[in-house]
This record gives sequence, C-alpha cells and structure tokens, in this order.
Amino acid sequence: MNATENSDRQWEQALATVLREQAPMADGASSLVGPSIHRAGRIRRRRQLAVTAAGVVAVAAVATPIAMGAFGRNNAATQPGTSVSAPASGSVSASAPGSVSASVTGSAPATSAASSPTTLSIAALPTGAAPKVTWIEDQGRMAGNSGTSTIHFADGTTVQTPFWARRAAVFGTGVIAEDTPNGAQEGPQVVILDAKGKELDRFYGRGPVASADGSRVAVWRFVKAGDSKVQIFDAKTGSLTPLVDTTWNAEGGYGADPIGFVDADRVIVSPVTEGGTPVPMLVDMTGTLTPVPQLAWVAAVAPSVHQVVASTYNPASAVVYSFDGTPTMLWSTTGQTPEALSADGTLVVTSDPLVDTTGVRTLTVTKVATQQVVATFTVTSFAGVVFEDASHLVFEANDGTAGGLLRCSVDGTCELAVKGTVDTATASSGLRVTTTK
Amino acid sequence: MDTGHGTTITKTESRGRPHDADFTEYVAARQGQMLRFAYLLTGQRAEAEDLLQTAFAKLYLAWGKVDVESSRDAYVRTILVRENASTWRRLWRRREQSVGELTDGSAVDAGFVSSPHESFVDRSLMWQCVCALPPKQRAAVVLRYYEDLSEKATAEILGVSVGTVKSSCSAALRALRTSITASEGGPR
Repeated sequence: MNATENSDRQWEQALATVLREQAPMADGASSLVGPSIHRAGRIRRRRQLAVTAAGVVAVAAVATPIAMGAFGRNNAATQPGTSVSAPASGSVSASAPGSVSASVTGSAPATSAASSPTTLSIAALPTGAAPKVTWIEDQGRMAGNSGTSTIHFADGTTVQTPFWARRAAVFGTGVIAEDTPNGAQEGPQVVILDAKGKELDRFYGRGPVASADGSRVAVWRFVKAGDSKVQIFDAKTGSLTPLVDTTWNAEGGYGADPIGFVDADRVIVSPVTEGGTPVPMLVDMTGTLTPVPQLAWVAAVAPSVHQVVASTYNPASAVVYSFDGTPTMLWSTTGQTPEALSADGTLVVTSDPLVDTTGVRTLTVTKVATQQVVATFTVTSFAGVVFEDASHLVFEANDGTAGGLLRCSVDGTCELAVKGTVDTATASSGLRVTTTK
Repeated sequence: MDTGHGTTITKTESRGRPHDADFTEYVAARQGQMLRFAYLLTGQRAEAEDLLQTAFAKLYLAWGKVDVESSRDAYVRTILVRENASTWRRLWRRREQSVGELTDGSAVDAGFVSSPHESFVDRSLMWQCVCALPPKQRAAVVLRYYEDLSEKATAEILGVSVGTVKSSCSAALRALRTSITASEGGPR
C-alpha cells in the first residue's frame, strides 16, 4: 500500500469512526408505530389528490361551459370559443402507487341492491362511453422520470402538455396545470401555457382549482423559504396578475393545497402536512383567510350548494358541511373516509378507512338527508372518486392485472369507461395505470 | 410462504392486510437502527424522526409487496435517502430553520467530545463537514462507511450506478479532506 492509499484509508477510517460515534445521538425516541400508521393515512389521501404519480386521472366532476382557445386540442368539432368543461371541484383523483392492490374477486358487473355490494372484476366489466369529467392520461410514465400528458376535457376535446399534468383548468385561451417533475423527488409546480403551448409561467405550487363557472382559478404558490401565497386568477382573461394574492400563514407542513371553491368568492384550502392537526382555511376575494377548525381535511366540494365533504379530528369522522351562511354540519358518520359529494349535495361517497394498502375496500354511497345507503362497491386499488352526474361515479381502479377509469351507477352497475394498462413491474411504488386507447 | 426469517406469511397476509402486529414487530425491531441512519443523513434528531415516520408510513402502505425483512430494510433506507434528497423537503427544511429551529448541535456541544489523541483529525470538525455535504454524497458515505454496504447495494438504494457511488464517495472524502485541512492546517 503506497502513502496515498494509506492516507485515503486513514480518512475513511476516521469518517467511519465519526459516523459511529454520532449515530447514538438519535437514540431514545418513543415508538413510531402509531405516528407512522397515522401518517400512512395522510399519505394515501394526499396521493389521491394527485400530488404523486398518476396514470389515469379523473379531474373534474362539475362541467361548466367556458371559452377556450384551440391550443393543442384535437377534437375537430371544437373551435376557439366553443364551450368546454373546466375542472371546478378540485375533486382530483389519481392512482396511489402502493396504496391498495389486492386482487378483485367476485362476479362480473351486475345490478345490486344497496344491501348487496357490487364486487368488481375489472376485466369482466363491459365497456362504456368516455367519462364526462375531465381526466388525464400520462404517456411514458413507466419508462422514466419524464413524459407527457393528455388532458381530456369533459366535452371530448384534448390538450397535450409537455409534462405530466396532475390537475388542469382552462386559463384564457390556454391551460393552467400542475406538474410534478422527476416524480416525487421534485416539488409540484404550477405551469401556465398559452394557446400555442408556450410556457408563460412556472412556479412551485399546487393547483389549480376552478370556480363553478370556470371564471376563476386558485393556486397555492411557493415563493421562497418561509413565504408562500394563495392566489386567485381571472381564468376568463388568463391574466398573469392575480385578483387575490394573499400570504399563506398556516403553520407547518409542506404548504397548502387548494381543494375547491365553495361558492363564487371563496376557495377552501387545506394545509399539506403529514403530522399535527392542520386547519383548513377559507380564502375570499379580499384575501382574508378564515380558519375552519371544524374540519380536518376537505375531500370534495359541491359549489352550487356551498357544501363540502371532509374529515374531522375529534371524533374522527366524515362529515358534510354547509357553508351557506353559518357553517352547519348536515351529515356525519364515523369510521369512514370522505371521498366525494354530488353536485347537488344529496349523495356522499365514503370509503372504509385505511387499514392497509393491499386489501379489498368498499366505497359506500349514502343519501345525506336520510342516511340511507344507496350503493356499495367493493374494489381493490381505487383513487379519486368524482360524480359524473347525479347518479354516476367515476374513479380510477386497478386490480393488479386490469385497470382503468370505472363508471358506477348508484343502481349498482359498473362499466369500464377508459381501459388502462397496469404496470406490474414497479418495485417500490406499486401499480400505475396508463390508458391504452 | 416461508420468508426465511423465521416467520411464515400466508398469501392472504402478503397480498392482503399487512397485519398491524407484523408491522409493529418490524418497527419495534428496526426503529433504533433506522433512526440512527436517518440522523446521520439529516444531522437533526427531529428531522430524522420525521423522515423515518414517512419511511415507515410508506413501508406500511407497501407492506404486502415487500415480503422479507432484508427487503424491508432496503426499502426503508431507500425511502429515507430519496425523501431526504427531495427538493421539496429541502425547501421546507430551510423554511423551518429560518424560523428558529437550530441544527441539532448537541452532538458537538455535549455528547461528542473530540479527542485529538485518538484520531488524526478533529472529529467534531469532521462531523460538521459531513453535515455540509450535499445530500446524495452524504447518503453515499453513510451507506458505505456506517452501514458498511457494498458499492452495489449502495448503488441500488441511491438509484445510481456503482461508478456514481465510487465517484460520490471519492468526492465526499475529497471535500472533507479539503475542508478540514483548510480549517486545521491538516491532519494531526
């Protein structure tokens, strides 16, 4: 061994010694079992909000005519100014890699009574029409860390984005969308594209969500360490100058996530954190932030009736809250996770709570007014449940071999609206779905 | 299925409910070592606990797909390394520090007494320099010189080639040597 090698060896040994001596400074922590399981639930919910990688993404439950330019859209029937549907509710769905994955068992689709859950075998489902909600398919997701997306608006028009879009809304003659470069390693970013696909702005943040009439979109914007904002833009004009530009001052976590407009002038925003007891905020057009301590996590919004479905901390339950006047609880249940709310606020969808990632799970549709369960669906991996209309749900699901966007009626029947391809090779992040049509 | 680790996992358990008891048993057995590893990656105890909570949570979510204990260890280490290197986490870590959370200097201030007679470098200074390494270089040296993993195993966790592991460790050692030499005028 020469002198250089000897010196290198000394440095390596010194480094190893330092690391061994430092490591015990971490000893003595209390058990992380409970906090970790609790955090797993938060991660799962966040994945459902499309922060993480998604294959097929159903984006919007509320169809709202607004004008949009022709950028990138390949539906010849749609010209600039034609009515298209804009994401409005913020009820975004995504496949949640690794969150749920066991095989679906049971019969082919069949009509069932509420007391008889519909157990789904995806491969056996009949094929239905494309969803009348906005949804997103990714290209190249299984191949690496970059790719493109096709946003399918509810009227059948499509927009290509040169990145994986998570959420999207019409913005002026272009599009505003959320991008997560390099998968989960990079923070989500909001990108504004003009009608020709030129990037007008890009910043760290989350969103957008659009108001019911599509005239406004809200985003959360990370400015710099310790400084972030909630911004509301005029989506009709596509102006890059926000109508509202207010400091987000909630404590802790990884910033915020706009969930949806509860009416024309107020957007509800959830803090993004994996611990603590974050409180959602209502942000109005004056920029005022009003805490909503009654709620823990808002899952979906029904803007026409100013209602939300959300979870609460104590007791842990799913609730439907009205923000029409004094906030009022309309419905609650325990032991369920909130998923979706119909546009008229009459039906609520919940799921059994997270017990693991691979077990078969049940979606339950309940009438808010009467507590009557009208339908239950037993599924495996699912994400992002949205109402397509008053009686149909759309959500992404896969069973490890088959997957796609499913449409299920409250009468218990289901069909495959968009066929996907399941990625069985993903080692650590679970299953992903991309469309093949 | 015999996992080779003294437990039998039925198909239902491996593909279905993870059995909280199994998860609890795993965390109880591995928390200590993994927390040390996380601490070496972050240099802050609170940050290490937060990071490990996330890693355990993701393991919980993937429990049915990670069947044997050795794979679970590798899975948790992978999550710890990649999560710690995420741009988003670093951005927010800066935020947290900017509002007053100090880097955990307890090791240097109290528990870690540099003993020049036992080492040819000032070890407290070396630890400070380790903490200043870029996250991926730091992860490479912790995996190689603390966990004593092979270059191949280190590469798999980091998601890079073996050559990149070699160059990362070499660059890290060079940076440590340069910093310490500049501060101290060379090894003792």
